[in-house]
Amino acid sequence: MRTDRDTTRIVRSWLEDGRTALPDHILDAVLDQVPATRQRRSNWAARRFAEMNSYAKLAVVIAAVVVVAVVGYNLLPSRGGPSVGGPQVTPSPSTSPEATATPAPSPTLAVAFPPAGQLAVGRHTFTEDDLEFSLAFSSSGWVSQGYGTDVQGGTIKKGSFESPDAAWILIWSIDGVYTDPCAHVAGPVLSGSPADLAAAVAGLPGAAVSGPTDTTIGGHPAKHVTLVYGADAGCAPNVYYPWYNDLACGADDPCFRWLSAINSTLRVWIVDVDGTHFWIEAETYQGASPELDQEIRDMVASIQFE
Amino acid sequence: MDTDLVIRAQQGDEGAFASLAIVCGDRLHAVAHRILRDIDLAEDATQQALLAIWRDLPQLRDPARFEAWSYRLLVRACYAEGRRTRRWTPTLRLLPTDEPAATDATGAVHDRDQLERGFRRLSIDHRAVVVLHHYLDLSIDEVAESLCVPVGTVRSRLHHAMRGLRAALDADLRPASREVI
Repeated sequence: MRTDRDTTRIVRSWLEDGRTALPDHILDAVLDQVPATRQRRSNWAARRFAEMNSYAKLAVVIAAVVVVAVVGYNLLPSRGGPSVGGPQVTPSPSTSPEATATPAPSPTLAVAFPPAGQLAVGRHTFTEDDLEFSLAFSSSGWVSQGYGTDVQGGTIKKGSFESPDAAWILIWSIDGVYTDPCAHVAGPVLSGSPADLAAAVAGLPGAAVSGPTDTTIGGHPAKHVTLVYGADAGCAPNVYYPWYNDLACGADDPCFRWLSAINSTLRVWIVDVDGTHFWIEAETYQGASPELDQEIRDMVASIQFE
Repeated sequence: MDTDLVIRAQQGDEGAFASLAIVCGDRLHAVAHRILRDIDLAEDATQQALLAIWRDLPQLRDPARFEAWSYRLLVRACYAEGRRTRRWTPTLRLLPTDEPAATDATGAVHDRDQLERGFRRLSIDHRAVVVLHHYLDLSIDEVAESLCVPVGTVRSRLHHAMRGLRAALDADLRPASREVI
């Protein structure tokens, strides 16, 4: 029986063998195709710019913000030990809660988000471009994971991602929903109303859905959908992709969400802020208390758009 | 990585991109070869990844993150190549045999043979994590950023992959096995 250290050493040695140089004919083929290959300009920037012109002094919520996060339990099949994963941040890529906590500033973004660390009881303000909104925190224990530039969002959590009673709030923009979350088949980008997006969310397979229901957040009409993913969702939570943002990471490389644990409850609110949508979502693990769930709903209800 | 080259390539400078491709092409190819374990597939994946890099470069927000981002596109190209050829992969299963176990003299050869088989049984997801971490020496956080997945996912994939490889290595310490189609 080998030790882990033996295995690592042997694997590393084995990986050293093999070709490293890219053949010239491959490089030539690439460079030959470059002149005929159009670069994709960032439609994110174009969309944001256009909206800022149109809604000059309005809070443009679209490119929202936030979060990512998390993780989940590692549900590798047939393994005896405890699950290993943890919450995770939306791919961002960046990925890990730790990584998003200390993002490298992007020169193209002007974002304010509570820096990584404990959040005091009271109202905290978030800024995304011209949009400013605030959330009221009524209890201690909430922690900001900071802002992840890659996913244009951030996470606010309560409890450790590895804890079965944790919960967190994610704020970012969503562009579409997966039609087959287990096979990672993405549906089209939904540029329509929050109602369209809410309907798509409510249509996700493998989840017990409640809603969409009508509500009001910060004086703006909103849709609310609640989803609970059971063990029969069709695949493990960490490979179940419910929705994505194709602007943050590129059209071919969308930022997508995945689930953290079976029986997690996801709450999604989509707010119609003067024609654009503001997306905020919260996930609570199965062990989270009803009080924590209510606290999250109260926090969302406390949102004020400045 | 020269971020000035990246920025110029983002702005459509084909010469700058050519320089970038020369700089990062060997490394991308080496990674692709180790993930796919097939030189032809690796060449195709590297070619597709380089073209994707050119095409999507304007969407890269932070030029300083070019390297991690390029690995992400490369692994995606490896996925595509892996899917394209999946149907040609024979189904293998292990049957016990009474051949003698490897001796010390031939242990290294057996190790590599067993590793090759064990590695091929891993998904592209798991292979990518092993290669980025153990070949490129990227940290867990850097692998997570490169693959656009959470740190927890990287850890679990690495754990699963290394357990599989260890099992493959240990297989030649137990009564030997033989793969059959």
